[in-house]
Amino acid sequence: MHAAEQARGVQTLSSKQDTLRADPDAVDATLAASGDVHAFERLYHGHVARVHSLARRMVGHDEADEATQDAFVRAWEKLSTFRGEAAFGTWLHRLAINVMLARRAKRGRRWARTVEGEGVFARAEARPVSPEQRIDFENAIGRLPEGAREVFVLHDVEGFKHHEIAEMLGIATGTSKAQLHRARLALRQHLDR
Amino acid sequence: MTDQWTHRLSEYLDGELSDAERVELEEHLRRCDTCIATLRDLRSVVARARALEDRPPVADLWGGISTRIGSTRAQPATTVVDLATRRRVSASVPQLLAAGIALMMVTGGAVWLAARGPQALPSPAVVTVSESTTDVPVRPVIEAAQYAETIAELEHVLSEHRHQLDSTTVEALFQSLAIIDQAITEAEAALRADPANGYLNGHLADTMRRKIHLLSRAASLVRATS
Amino acid sequence: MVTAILGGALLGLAMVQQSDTVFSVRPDARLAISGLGGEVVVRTWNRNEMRVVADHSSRETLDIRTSGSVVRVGVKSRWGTPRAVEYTITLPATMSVEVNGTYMDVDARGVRGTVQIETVQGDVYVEGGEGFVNAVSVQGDVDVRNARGRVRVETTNGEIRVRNVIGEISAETVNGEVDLEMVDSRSVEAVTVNGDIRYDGTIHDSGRYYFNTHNGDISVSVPERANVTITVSTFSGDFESDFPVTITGTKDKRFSFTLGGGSARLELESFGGSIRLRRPGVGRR
Repeated sequence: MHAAEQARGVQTLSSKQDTLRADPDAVDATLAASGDVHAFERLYHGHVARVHSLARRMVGHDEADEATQDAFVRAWEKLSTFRGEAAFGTWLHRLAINVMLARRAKRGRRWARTVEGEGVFARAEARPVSPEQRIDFENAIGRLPEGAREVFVLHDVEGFKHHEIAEMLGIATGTSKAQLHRARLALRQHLDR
Repeated sequence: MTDQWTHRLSEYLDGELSDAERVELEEHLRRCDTCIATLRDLRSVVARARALEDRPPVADLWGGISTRIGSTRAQPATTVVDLATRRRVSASVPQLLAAGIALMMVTGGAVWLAARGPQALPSPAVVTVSESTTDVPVRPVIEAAQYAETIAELEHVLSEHRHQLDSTTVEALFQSLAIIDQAITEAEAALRADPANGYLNGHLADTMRRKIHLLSRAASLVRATS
Repeated sequence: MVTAILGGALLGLAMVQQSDTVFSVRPDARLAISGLGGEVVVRTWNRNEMRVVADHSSRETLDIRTSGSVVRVGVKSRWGTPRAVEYTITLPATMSVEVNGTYMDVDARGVRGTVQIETVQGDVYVEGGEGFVNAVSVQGDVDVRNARGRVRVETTNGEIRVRNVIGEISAETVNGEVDLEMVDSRSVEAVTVNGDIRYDGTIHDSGRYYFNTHNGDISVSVPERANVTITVSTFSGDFESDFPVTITGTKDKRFSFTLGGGSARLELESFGGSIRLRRPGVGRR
């Protein structure tokens, strides 16, 4: 146990050497990696809005809290792998995306229903939305069918390229492009005009 | 209404079409009001997506996270002994700083338990008191180089840019730093006299952490005001 | 205090002007104020409206922007950096409040949403707050009362006072005392380097309570029927208890003992001060 603690400490020391540079997140990440929960809580408060917003868009409102907690717990577990090459926020965000995507695997059955959902979605996009049906843009993202929603969030909100998304989701680039287009078409009815 | 180009509008918008396709589509756009309207909408959707603001969750989620990660604050090594049986019922390893405050422990072959969860302790009617006599010998060695480097870096930022902060703030920061330094000095001196003292080990590590945190805050204040 | 610092500069350059405006807001909206200096006073009412009264320099204009559920309040300066501004804001109690200031005092009362306040030089006073209250200063006192939910309080050179709070508490200062009163919590952590710590509140079964000072006394109330394992650690301080505790062999001044079932954990650490256990409400000081 002790040897492991020490080894982790030494590893952290050498890897962080060039990156501390007085960046408060990097300092807190280093402190947190050594077991400082307060430092991790500071990181949580600094980044929770971004991670939770990602979660709302990726997995929907109902599961966003849980997915956000999963992401931070995962980050705590993986802190020793944070090398400081990128900003902590970037590292955390990428990790959070992976956590959100991993949830898909656990939802195999719901994923399967997407096919059916997409039919509804395809019909819906042609119909104008009445004022009563109007929901805000954020909520509309959450109601996109799985697949289209993830591609849209990753591409248009998060700024990933199609080939990166294809790799993350395990789909063809063409599928990513098609899903993105369908998502955009559906969302245009929910623009705040 | 859709046509063969409707489905390519997003690709056009994203610059994903080949030159030939782009020219052809632009030609089509000159004649197709539907596609022009759709393209305008798609542009708005993309712009709207980019302008989305991040919002924190309604409920605070930290409680759940801290429970799941065990919320193990850096623990001084304290050994709880049930005097009646002289049986050690719990012990803990100080969670030591990695960030250059690695306190090297010499355990002397003693048995350590990693975490100190709630233990089923004997329940005497009033009070049982036990002395902590079985602490594992601990010799702290400050991994000075990295700790000093981190501290020096943060102190450099602070001293270099202190003029950007209000003098009262600077005074408060330096006063607090002096207090922490004094505490560190005292804890170190105490440890020299009693190297095996687990409480002192943990206390010193905690106090050093606080120094790093304070300097880090000071550095971010400087950054925020520059 | 803070206003005075900036006030001098302000008077020399521009007249003080008051803006006063009322507008509709969603009851679940979030107020976000960022500013350099001055004061923010927040009060609540039973209307879905927000009123902003701001005393600012005549060369500045009040700038209010709503984006989604966030209402951002600030001032725009026609030239130079913004000066001290004194805001008095009245809003629906259910809204959340977020203030980020540098030389700013903050006084927020009656809010039932989350409250997050960060200032550098200034005092923070929060009465209310639900879900999460985060109150942070560097040079200033922080006082949180009547909050429900997680309370996180931090300052560097200043005192901390938390009163009548139900929920998890974490309080941290370097140079100043920490006073926690009428607390109902399963998890409390209070840390200072130079200052006393007082705790008067519940000790729940399986709860965790941690108090640490370097140079200061710790005084903790322990209810009669508490089931708690108490760990006392000091280097050169003393231990005293208002109820009978027999201690043997404390040459290194570290020991643990249990009351009742011992399921809660109370850890008391003072390097050089005295550690005292007392009964609730008795001999607080």
